[in-house]
Amino acid sequence: MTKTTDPVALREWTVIGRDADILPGTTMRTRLLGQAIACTRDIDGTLHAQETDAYDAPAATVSVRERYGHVWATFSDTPRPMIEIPEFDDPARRRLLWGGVMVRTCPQRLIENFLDMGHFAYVHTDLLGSEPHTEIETYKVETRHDVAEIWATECRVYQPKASKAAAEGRDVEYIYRTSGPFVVVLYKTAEQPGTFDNMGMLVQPMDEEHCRVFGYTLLLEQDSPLVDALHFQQTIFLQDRLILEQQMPRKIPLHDTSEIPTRADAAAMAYRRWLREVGMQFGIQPKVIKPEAVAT
Amino acid sequence: MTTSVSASMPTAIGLSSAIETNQVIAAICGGTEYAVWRDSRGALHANQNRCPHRGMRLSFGFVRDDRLNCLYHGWSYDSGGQCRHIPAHPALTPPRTVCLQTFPVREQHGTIWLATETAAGDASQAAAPSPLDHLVLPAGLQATPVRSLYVMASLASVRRTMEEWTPQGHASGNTASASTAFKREALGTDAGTVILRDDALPPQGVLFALQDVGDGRTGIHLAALWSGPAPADHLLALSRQLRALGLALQQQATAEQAA
Amino acid sequence: MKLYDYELSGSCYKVRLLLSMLGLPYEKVAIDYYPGREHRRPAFLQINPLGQLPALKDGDLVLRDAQAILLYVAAQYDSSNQWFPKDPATQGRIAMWLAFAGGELMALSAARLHEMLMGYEHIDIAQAQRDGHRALQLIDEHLAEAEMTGQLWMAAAHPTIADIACFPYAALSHDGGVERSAYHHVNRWLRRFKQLPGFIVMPGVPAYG
Repeated sequence: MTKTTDPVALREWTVIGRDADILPGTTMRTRLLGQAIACTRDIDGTLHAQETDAYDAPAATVSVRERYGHVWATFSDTPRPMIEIPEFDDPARRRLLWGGVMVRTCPQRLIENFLDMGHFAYVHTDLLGSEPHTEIETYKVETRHDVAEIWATECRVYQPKASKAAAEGRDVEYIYRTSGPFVVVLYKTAEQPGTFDNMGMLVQPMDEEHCRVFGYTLLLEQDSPLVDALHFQQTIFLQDRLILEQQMPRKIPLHDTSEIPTRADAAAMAYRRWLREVGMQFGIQPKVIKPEAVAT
Repeated sequence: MTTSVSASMPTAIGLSSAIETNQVIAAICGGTEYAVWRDSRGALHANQNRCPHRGMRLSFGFVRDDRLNCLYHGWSYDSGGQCRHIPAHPALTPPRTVCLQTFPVREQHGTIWLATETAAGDASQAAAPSPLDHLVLPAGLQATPVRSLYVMASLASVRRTMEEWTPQGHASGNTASASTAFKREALGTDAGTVILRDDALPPQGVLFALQDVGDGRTGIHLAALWSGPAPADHLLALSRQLRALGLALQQQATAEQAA
Repeated sequence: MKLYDYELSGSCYKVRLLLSMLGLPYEKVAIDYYPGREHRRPAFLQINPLGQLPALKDGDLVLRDAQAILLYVAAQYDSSNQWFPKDPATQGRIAMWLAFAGGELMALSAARLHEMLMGYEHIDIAQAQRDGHRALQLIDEHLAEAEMTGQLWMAAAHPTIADIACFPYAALSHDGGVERSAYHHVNRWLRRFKQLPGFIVMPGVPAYG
């Protein structure tokens, strides 16, 4: 496999690990957008990264930076600005980093699964949803092309156990915010009415059909052990992973009508429309040119 | 020109015991996946193994109220492949376009047969021809499922091995008499089904059906023929012989690869 | 009773299953296995010097190894004597399958760790998947032959800790890229197991289906 040529993918700052995954004096080897890379942290803490060739020898430099507890890389000299998440610096919030989990699917299926609420009763049974509370009411979707963000707001769902700390079921409001093709943030009603927890899924697309998923949660609630919130999050993600790895084809069929949406899929549909508008290719089933369209 | 697989000739995909009431399994024929399920009355149905919503494998779903339900969002399909319920929109009648391909599937002689050509509406079991249709078992003989075995060997290679292989007869331990007692009858075409049948040594016989899974893998489905339900020790003996056959096939496949 | 536990661990799930099926109360001590690697830090190494989960503390007794914990909990608390019956032949068969569950079947655990988490790149995934298939094939044959005499469970006519020990990694095989369409008897046994009173799920084992 070789580095993608898709400019939509290449211009992104993309996560490659938590800060703690690259200790001082060590090198982490990984893949990003089809390209093998190595990221080293010097003893003094400085990070630098290169593409590596078939012999693991360093080649072109890759820009790296640290933000939101994670290390990010880009192949572009003029990358798209990173998402701004002011809540990350809010001292009233506890930070939880999920760690990287691999999934064999394209990054776009991960984003769509995160945006989806219709699966809560079946995949996250008795946690984020349960029969018969399966109805998804109409919610609002807005695409902000200038910042490459899609916002889904006024999403409401009844959850038997909205978080590890939740003692009973309650109605929850969700706000989703995608940023580019590989990042999505969720604002979710917290224990205190009128307040929102903040969590983000950060996808590292290693190859078109193989990703590593990182994420964070910013909790307002201060009392429950952080490890419990971590395990709750990992439980939810692993329940999704089973589904994600069984969706065929692995790349999304953006250019045909083989997948049928309903109104509950409005956020994912806006995401697919955006992918089409920007001409994304990485992770997308290629357009099939029918034989009859070719001149003989 | 004979095509290597007759599209209208069904393939064996398992023994009757492979699918319980209200269970769905995945069956793979020639690299294509199917979701095969039994409803509450025991009737078999077969569909494409992909929900048209988001491409989820239906073999991971659940059978409830005589419908096949997708594990991802609970979309519910009837035996004709029509979607009848979308839980996210309970009041909505799903459009007719939300439907699954259906395939004829039936049971015969303890084995499940799947036709890989689509059918319209509710696949009629009677419409699917089967390689066993012309096989007339001696009166009173019935089939008891033994076991299925999947091997990393091509269907052609399995057929070749089975042409020389004979299971031991139960009554006698005599190899010679067992091998002459077997009458081979290959039904179906080249790469299709092969059935070996012994009715010269009553009251027993064996029925093999082969499944071309694809990617160099073959399924072997073995049923015992007996004048009633076959006794446990006979089934066990046949199962042990199937294991020996599997080992022989494995060795053959390794030898062929090395060659 | 204290169970040192990780929600995503199939081995811990073995113990959680038996405790649930026996209706036994216990305290769950959540260990940050990933990404925290808490199981390798000094405090937990005092509990289990092998640095593995699960571990159980019941009064002064401290046990490691899921199979050993299953045996103790069943012997100590199961008044019905169903989960670990007293007759030697059944105990022998159970021990055989417990060893398998902690041995050959763990190829499925290795495949799962390699496919899911960082830090397991040293595992030979192709070998682990081949070994995992072989282990499932073995269980499939065993169950097929047991069913011929009317026995629906691994070591006896009723469920025992042999079934509990083998269930998790068989059920989680997809996590490691090992699919089960060839193992008809395994799939029916998994379904049968999920119907048992006190059955609980874990991520990777769906509530439906």
